[in-house]
Amino acid sequence: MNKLLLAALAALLAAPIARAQTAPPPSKWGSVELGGGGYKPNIDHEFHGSATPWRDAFGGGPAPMYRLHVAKSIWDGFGSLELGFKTGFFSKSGHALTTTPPYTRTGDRTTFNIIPTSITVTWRGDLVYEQAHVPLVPYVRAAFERYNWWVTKQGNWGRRGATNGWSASAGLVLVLDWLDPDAAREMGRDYSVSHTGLYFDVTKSKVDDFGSKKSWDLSEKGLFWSTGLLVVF
Amino acid sequence: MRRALLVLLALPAHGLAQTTVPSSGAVTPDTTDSTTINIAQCTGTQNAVRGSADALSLTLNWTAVAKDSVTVPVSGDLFRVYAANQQPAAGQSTGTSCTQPASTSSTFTVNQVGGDIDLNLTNNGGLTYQGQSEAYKDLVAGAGFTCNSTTSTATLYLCVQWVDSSGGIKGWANGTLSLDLRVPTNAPILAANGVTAGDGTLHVNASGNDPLTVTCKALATGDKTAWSSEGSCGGLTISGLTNNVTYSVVVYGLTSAENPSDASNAEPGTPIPTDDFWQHYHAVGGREQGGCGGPAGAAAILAALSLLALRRRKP
Repeated sequence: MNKLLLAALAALLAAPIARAQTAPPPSKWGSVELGGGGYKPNIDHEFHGSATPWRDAFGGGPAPMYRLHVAKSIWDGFGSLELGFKTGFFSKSGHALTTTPPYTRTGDRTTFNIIPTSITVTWRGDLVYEQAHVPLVPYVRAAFERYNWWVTKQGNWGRRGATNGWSASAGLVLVLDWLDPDAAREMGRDYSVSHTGLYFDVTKSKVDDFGSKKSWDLSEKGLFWSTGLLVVF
Repeated sequence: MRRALLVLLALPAHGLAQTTVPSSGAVTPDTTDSTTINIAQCTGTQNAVRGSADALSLTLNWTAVAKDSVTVPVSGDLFRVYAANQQPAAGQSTGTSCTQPASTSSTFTVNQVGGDIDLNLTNNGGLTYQGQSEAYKDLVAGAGFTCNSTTSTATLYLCVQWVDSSGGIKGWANGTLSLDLRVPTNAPILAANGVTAGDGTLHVNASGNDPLTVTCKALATGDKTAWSSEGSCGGLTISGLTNNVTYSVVVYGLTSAENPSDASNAEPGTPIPTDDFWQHYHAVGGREQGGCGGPAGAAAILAALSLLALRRRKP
């Protein structure tokens, strides 16, 4: 089994090298990412076990957070440095609760919604693919986060607000160009697409108004794992 | 420019006011009217479950087809609406439409519904007329159908005859309606935990329990009576109730033609005040205050977007 995996990895690394091109990569406009991952805010953390309002209303499972990231290349030397804007959507539906203890679930529905917005700085090692022709490109990202949230009950808007914070991510892009170099060249010629790939990343966030004592904690409880499609223009 | 804007503004309103024009030789109910006649419409008596949701009359629109050598209606011409239990004949040259059957294999029942109609109806040009109101029950009676069966379906044939002042046939239009008097054999089932409390509301989860049942409505009776909207039997909500008052809840099944079943078994339910997530978070001592979290965040996002926009302008 291990031999099979090693053979597959060798083929993955060797195939693009065989098709190495000598021309330097063109300068890039930037990139677009579309993806998401399972998210669960760490709201119950502030109660240190004495109460679990999030779990009471929404249960213990995560819900998908979808993200769209558009970034403009600001430096194209050793890899690509990009300044970007990321947004998305998260919505979790649960049950409204009785107003007095013991707080039990009722037939009314309540939802917690977030439109996360982020200003990002990303460094992506495109040279790993463009010069060494290895289709696994690493990247790191730092972001200022602003989670715009609102609560509803039975479809009616309740409280709303925004919580600020930061995040740091590290990820890998599996460049898909090597699967079909002809199609990749055609995409480049027709749509100015430099690369397409699948990304996998992990994010550590701290979204609690930078430690404010009057803020809840919308950080992911542990690490936020996400995946999606990356297109570099 | 101003005139062009006015024209553009007027276009949507004009579009909304338009009625679907029947094809030549066709008579059809207005697009807002049901083409299937249910028990309430057949009898002309609204039931408690649907109430005024069942309109008891419909509006007919038609575009007639002219008999050979006939061109346009002239003063003195009339229209007559007929209802029949089978397809009427339509001969381009003979003009034996409406009152003659296309086939003589079974008894043909046909009757004129309402009186003669003069040309004062709204005319959309040519032989297209709209706005003739008829009661569903009159059309049913004209075709010789009765409303006492709860298992039957039938096709009701409409025919509009265009005649001159002496009764000579000049043209006609044909159409159909469906008669569906079927009712669910079984009432919905409401489980003991099928009624859950909400804030001034009761949420009802029932089983339709009959192949003819496609939707349901729930009724709460207590210090007042209130209906849910019509919808999925498993997800009905009755609103406008008084908290801490116990209501008796029953559910009715409805067929695709909107014929109601008998009431389900009754289950009690008591609306109670509820907290949404924000209220509950604060009830257990949460510290978040809400609001925009300070202007720094919005300012940073605006600054970064401005930076991107400025960079884009560089050659």
